[in-house]
Amino acid sequence: MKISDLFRFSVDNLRRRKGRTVLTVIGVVVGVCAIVVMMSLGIAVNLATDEMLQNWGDLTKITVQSYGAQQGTPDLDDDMVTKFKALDHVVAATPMYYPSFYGSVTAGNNNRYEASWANVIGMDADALEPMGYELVTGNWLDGQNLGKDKIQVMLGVQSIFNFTDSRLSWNNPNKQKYPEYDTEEAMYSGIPSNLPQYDENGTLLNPENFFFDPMTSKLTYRLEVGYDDEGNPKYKDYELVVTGLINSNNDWDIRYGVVMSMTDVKKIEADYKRLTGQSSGGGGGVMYSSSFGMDTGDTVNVGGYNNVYVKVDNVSNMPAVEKQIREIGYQLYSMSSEREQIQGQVAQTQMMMGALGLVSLLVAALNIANTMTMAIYERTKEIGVMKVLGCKLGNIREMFLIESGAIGLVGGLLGVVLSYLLSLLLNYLPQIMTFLGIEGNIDIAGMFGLSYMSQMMPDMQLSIIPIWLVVVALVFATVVGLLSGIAPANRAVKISSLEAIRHE
Amino acid sequence: MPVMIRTEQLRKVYRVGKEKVVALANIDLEIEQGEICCIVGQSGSGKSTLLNMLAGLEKPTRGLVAINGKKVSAMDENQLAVFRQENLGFIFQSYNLLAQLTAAENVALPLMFTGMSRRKRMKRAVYELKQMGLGKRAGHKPTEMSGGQQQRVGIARAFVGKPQVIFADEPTGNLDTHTTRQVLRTMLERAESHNITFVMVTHERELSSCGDRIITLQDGHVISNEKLDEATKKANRDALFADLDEKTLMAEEAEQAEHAEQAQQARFAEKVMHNVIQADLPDTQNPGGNTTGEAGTGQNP
Ligand SMILES: Nc1ncnc2c1ncn2[C@@H]1O[C@H](COP(=O)(O)OP(=O)(O)OP(=O)(O)O)[C@@H](O)[C@H]1O
Ligand SMILES: [Mg+2]
Repeated sequence: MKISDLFRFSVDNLRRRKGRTVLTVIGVVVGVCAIVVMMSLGIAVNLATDEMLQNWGDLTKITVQSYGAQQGTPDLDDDMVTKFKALDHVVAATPMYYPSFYGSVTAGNNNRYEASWANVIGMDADALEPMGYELVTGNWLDGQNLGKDKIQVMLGVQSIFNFTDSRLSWNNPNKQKYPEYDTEEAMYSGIPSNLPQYDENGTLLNPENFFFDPMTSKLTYRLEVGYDDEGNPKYKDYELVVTGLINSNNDWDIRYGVVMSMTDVKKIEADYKRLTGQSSGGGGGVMYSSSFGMDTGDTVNVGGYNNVYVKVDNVSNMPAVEKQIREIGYQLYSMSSEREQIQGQVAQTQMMMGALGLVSLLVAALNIANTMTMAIYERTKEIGVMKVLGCKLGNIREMFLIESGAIGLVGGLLGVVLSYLLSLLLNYLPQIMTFLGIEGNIDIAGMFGLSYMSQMMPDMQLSIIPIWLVVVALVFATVVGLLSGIAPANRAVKISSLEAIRHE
Repeated sequence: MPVMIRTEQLRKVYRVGKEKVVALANIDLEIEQGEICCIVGQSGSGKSTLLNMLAGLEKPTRGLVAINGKKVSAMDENQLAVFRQENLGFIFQSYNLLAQLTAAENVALPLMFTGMSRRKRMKRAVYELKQMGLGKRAGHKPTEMSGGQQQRVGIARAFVGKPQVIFADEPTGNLDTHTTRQVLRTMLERAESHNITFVMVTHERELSSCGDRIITLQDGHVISNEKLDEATKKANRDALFADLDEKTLMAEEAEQAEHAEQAQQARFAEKVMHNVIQADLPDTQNPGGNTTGEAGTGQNP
């Protein structure tokens, strides 16, 4: 028997019993709709979670911490950073080193502009780009040693607002140029709207917002090295060569920082120690924080850097890398483990809701089986005649499976369409409710135990139906149809042709 | 003539509760190729049981059935399905047409199971229907046809696959005497012209006389198995079909169609006449009336 004939036969039979077919299909539609809409809520919440976490921090970054490590864990030092770099899937690893010396940055004639609080950060020059920071203009640090008293730096794009005009008094409103948060986005993200902007030639496009262009001005770092006999601070000056401006949407420290290579930080640190007369153990090494504080129970605070960043190539590899670092003994922190936790919570709720949908689909499946069984009872004679006329058993089985599969598929298709409509309705619910003048809102995220989310992301979509969900729903509905058809189809195959054609 | 159907020690015992009903007791038969074989006997004598077993619809308790040298009694369901597609045709007492299909689709059904394309099988089905004098009914559903017409569709369905053997259990059981004769004669003509072995169960002695062989059953035993010679058969048939004229069903349909057309033309002519007369009526002072009449005449084919 030809496939086209099988299909024609089955579809004709479905059409013949329109009323019953429609009712059975409706059952499937409801089941599919329940599952798809439930899933779409979870997907939307997950997507919103990701977006939210992305604003909070980089999903592929691990912060390894020196505190809370297990007993016997080695120090978080340069050797360990090298070890991290060698791990599979690790793109870069760098300490995030905040040196203990203090200094300011000055600019302009006679050091007219001064940022008295300069947040020096030591990092691996090679790690900056892979870490995912944004290069506003200029170039990344190349790690070159420029010689004595000359240092390559990248300025955090927002650090420009730290400068004050030393010629004006503190009550003069022009003493400082301030960041502006006048747009909704700026207010929401905490990133000012008037940051320096450059064209591709490196020309500052909005110079009116700042005292000077940090890319072209001469900048100096004034390291404080103790006090003279009269109690005035002594300085050592370094010329800063600004290679570029750096930005990060989620790292406040970088945005406000003066980023140097670890080599240069170590150089300044050595000068500082020499000039302040501190003995430096091995000489030239960083002033690691020594193990301090009370060790509570099993954990210790190891020596070395406070924090080391490890950048991983892909979110999916995060668990593997995190596991390896944890096995060394360190405590770590990452957005992705945070995310896992939230997703776990969402998945749980989604499962519960999905189970409800599944129950309704199960009912639909029973419905299909029932419809098919009834159809087979009604068509006993017909089936018998077909067998006598030479229809193979396989063809009879296929006829009924196609019928039940078609019920599933059509139910799935209509279910998906209905789900899209419901999804649309959900997503426009706030507008619809305002239009109808109804107060209040629907907190879908709250249903998933994430009630803070709807405040953080006021315009998140409540329901998202991706293509894969459509495909999965259609396949699933068809499979359910086919499965519920198996028993009735087997019954049809077993019908005795003799019994069926017996004249009554 | 070679043997087409052969049974050896064919036995069928039904178990009803603790009782055993011997429907067929050790039957040995040979039916030759191209034979018209009629099985007669009283109600309950085992005619249907025998036919079903010959056709492989039922498994014997013991013994063997072979058609064209193939052991039907040993085939499984799928082998039987293929064997039926290729070799057997069936005609049922209660027609057993599929209600949702048209006459042509019903006739084409056995060909559909063999995987023949729709165009090809529909062509053959329509041809077969024409032979049965139902060319005009190809698109009709069974419910739109009389019993006799339905059975003719059933016969067309049995012949469409060009089978070796056709089995018919009381094919005329539901038809009136005239239709019975008509249908019977058509079946015989079609079977004989295609050299098809035709096995028919009937409880009417009179009908069975048209065959080459008459097998009489009683309580599961063959009590007579007579082969008629050509002369006797011819005499029997002449007597049986005396009331029928010579025309085949196809010729009859063509004739009827002609009658119908003539009748329609006659009605049309009458209508035109009527129009013309109306136009000529003096009280219809409308000159357009004549035009209408002319237009009507113009439509006359
Ligand atoms: N499925 C069955 N179960 C039990 N007994 C059966 C079955 N089929 C037939 N019989 C018995 O077998 C015998 C023969 O039945 P069968 O139907 O062959 O008779 P028949 O000659 O065709 O009669 P009729 O002319 O009334 O159709 C009967 O006694 C009947 O009761
Ligand atoms: Mg019978």
